[in-house]
Parts: sequence; structure tokens; C-alpha cells
Amino acid sequence: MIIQFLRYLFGYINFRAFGGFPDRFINLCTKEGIPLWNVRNINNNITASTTVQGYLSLHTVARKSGMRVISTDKVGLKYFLRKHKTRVGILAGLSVSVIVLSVLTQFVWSVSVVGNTTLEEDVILSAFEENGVRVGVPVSSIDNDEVASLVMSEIESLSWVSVNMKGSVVVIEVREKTEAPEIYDPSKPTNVIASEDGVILSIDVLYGNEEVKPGSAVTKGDLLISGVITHKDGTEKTIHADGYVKALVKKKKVSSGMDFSIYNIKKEKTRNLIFFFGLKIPLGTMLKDGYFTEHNSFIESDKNLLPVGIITQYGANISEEKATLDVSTEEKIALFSNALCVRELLEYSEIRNSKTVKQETENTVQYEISAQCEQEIGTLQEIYVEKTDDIQ
Amino acid sequence: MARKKKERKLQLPDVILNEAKIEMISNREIIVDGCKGVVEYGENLIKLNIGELVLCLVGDNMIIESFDTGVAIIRGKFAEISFVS
Repeated sequence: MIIQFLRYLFGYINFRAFGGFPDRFINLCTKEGIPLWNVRNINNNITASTTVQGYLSLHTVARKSGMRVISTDKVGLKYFLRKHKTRVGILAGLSVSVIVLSVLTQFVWSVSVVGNTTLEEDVILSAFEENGVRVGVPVSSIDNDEVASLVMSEIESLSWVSVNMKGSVVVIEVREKTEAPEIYDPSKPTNVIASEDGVILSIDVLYGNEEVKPGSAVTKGDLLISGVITHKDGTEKTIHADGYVKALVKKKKVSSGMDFSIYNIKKEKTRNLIFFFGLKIPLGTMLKDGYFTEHNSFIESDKNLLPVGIITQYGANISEEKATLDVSTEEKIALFSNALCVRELLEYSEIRNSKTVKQETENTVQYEISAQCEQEIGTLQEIYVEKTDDIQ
Repeated sequence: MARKKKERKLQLPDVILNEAKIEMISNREIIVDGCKGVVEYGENLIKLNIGELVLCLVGDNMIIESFDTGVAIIRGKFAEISFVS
């Protein structure tokens, strides 16, 4: 490939040799140091290629081997330029394209993020944009390490950031922090208290003193299992109380109505912007306020988006008004809402019995659910202990 | 004969030993290192001087891709390769 390029750069001549002794001709060429390539023998006519310098000495060799040499074609950059020297446009276009390409490669063409799992890509990109890494900025202006450390300090959920420059493409590699799990500390003194009002159904103590019996009524915050143990000598010790307390809890839920709005578009406008390496050139005017959306259509090359394209902006003035619904629709909505309430109840408890009452007014329909649920109501509450030095 | 044995013991490369090294890629390409010259060049026959032997290549569409400093690269569709002493 490189040899072919060099041959084209310096130019070469395709020739035809006929008559005489082809084998002697080739041997003499080698002896004289005339490079030959693509040598073919077709009906005792030899076609081959040689350098310009080689072609000049070829005639002596041809004479010695009794052959005649005719040049068939001249190939190379200098012959191409000579042929097209009157076509200034080609040369100008070639020069301009080389200059444009060399200038544009000095700027960032695209910024992409890899390695993020939960953190939104837009959040990372906007943090980098604020620190000067965006499409259109000069590549030389980006200090990879400094930008990475600045973004690390801005986004706390990142544990590692690396800015890699691949020519004009910036690839941001990130790793997110893994949240430390909540540590269960059995040495911490705790009580088990009630998280809801109810009647105790069962109590299963793992550690601590049972303070209530099945059948007892408790209110929210009542002590169920105590973490304070009194010894026979009257001294007390705090421990990490734990256990399972199941209670019958009364629950009431009202299916709330839903509000629906109607949006009226008063004024709408669309305009295009030419996007060129971060520069946005608007083609027209836009509404001053209202609802806006954007649609980008950039030129794609080899699955990569180039920083050149059209941004279509859509703007609209929208007014909102509350929708009035008929009774049957209201009822359907209320039923749906009721189903949501039941699902909410079943999430943490087991429904023992329930009653649903329909409440109808002039324009609204509501469902009220009264249910008795079996639920785990024990929750841990830390006992704050002040440590003091023992007095001798 | 005795000299050749000594050279073999020295484990010198084949080219230094005045012997050609021939490399073939299927029946499409042949590289002859240590080629002394072309003995015969016809449309379907090429004979190469490789020192003590002559390498005969018979085939179609044979092209001498390059022939320089003792290395000949020949491409084509070889049908027969033989050595003549």
C-alpha cells in the first residue's frame, strides 16, 4: 500500500515491449537496476511498469535484448496535476478541504459518557458543559485532569471520572459510588414500639422484655418490647430489643378524585437553527414565553453524530383549564382510585375484612374503604444512653 | 561436499549458502528469494535461475509482481512447479 502510494507520488510509466528476447530484457533490467513490476507476457508482448528514471535507461537495455519499447501510460500525481492544471477549481477545492479539515479537527466534535448506571447522562454532560467541555470548544483548552476533579467534586455520587480525548471526540468514563448498606448494630440499645394503633394479635420476642400481651389495645408509640432489663439486685442493663408484633389495625381510605385538565394551544411557532460546532444560527424568530421543545437532526457518520445539523424548535403558548366530567366517568375514576387504595393496603398488611361505601354528591363520586388488617406494627426505637465514669 | 557440511554445521541462512528460499501462498503467489535471473519468459511458462537448479513455473495469468535484488514475486494461477538441474 505504502509502496503503491510512493509510486503514485513520484510517478511511473506503463510500457509495452515486443520482439527480441523477453527473458534477456528482464535480466538486463535487473542488472542495470531498473525496477520492474506488474510484468505480464501477452502474446509475446511484455507489459510492465517502471519508474520515470528507469524508463529513460530502458531503451539501451531494449536495444541490447533486441526489443522495442513503447510507453503506454504515465501515472502519478505530477501527471495528474499537469493534466488538470487548467482546472484551478479542483486545486482550490482540495486546498480548502485540507485547511477546513485541519482547522475543524482542533475542536471537539462530540462528547459521550460511558459507565453510568443510575446517574442520568444529561446530568453528567451538563456538569462537564459548565466546566468547559462541550461540542465546539478547542481541544487544547481542555485540561483532562482538572475537569475530571472539578466534576468529581460537583457530583458526589461519582467515585471516579476520566476524560479521554480520542482525536476530536471526548469520551467521559465514570464510575458511580456504591451506597453503603445500613449497618445492623446489635450492640445499640433499642426498644420496640408501636408504629400504629391496634389490638395485639401475637408477640414474638427475640430479645428484651415483653410489655404487652395478645389482646391488649395499643396506640402509636406505645412500648411493646423493652430493651431495659432489671436484674434481681435492682441494677438495670440496656440491650438491643427485637421481635415481631402483629396487630389488628383499622384502616380507612377514601378514593380521592382525580383532576383532569384541558390544554388549549393559543399560539404556536416552529423555527430551525443551524448547529455548527456548538454555534447555533437561528433561522427566524421564536415566541418569548411558553412551552418549548427541541428536535435535533445531526449528520451521522459511521454511527457517530457529527456536530453539524439542524435543530428544530417548537414553541407554543398553552392555556390550562379544568375539565368537567360526567357522573359515569367520575364513577369509573373513583373505582380505579379505589383499586389503587386496596393495592396500597395490601402492600404492608393482610386484609381480614373490609367494607366499601359509595358516597355520591351532585358531581362527584367517592368510595370509602374501611378495613381491618393484620399488620406488623413493631418498630425499633433507639435508647439514648449517656456514658458516665463509675464513681468509686 | 565437505564445505557444504561445514556450512550446515554453522547453521547459516539458506540465502547465504547460495540456495534459494521459495515461499508459496496456495497456487496463487510464489516468492523466490535468491533468484539469479530469468531463463525463459513465456505466456504460460516462466523459468527462473535459482543457482544450481532452474525453477519451472507453468500456469495462467502469470505476472512478475516485482523482480529486484534477488527477490522475485510471481502471481498467477500455477498449474505445475518443477525443478530442472
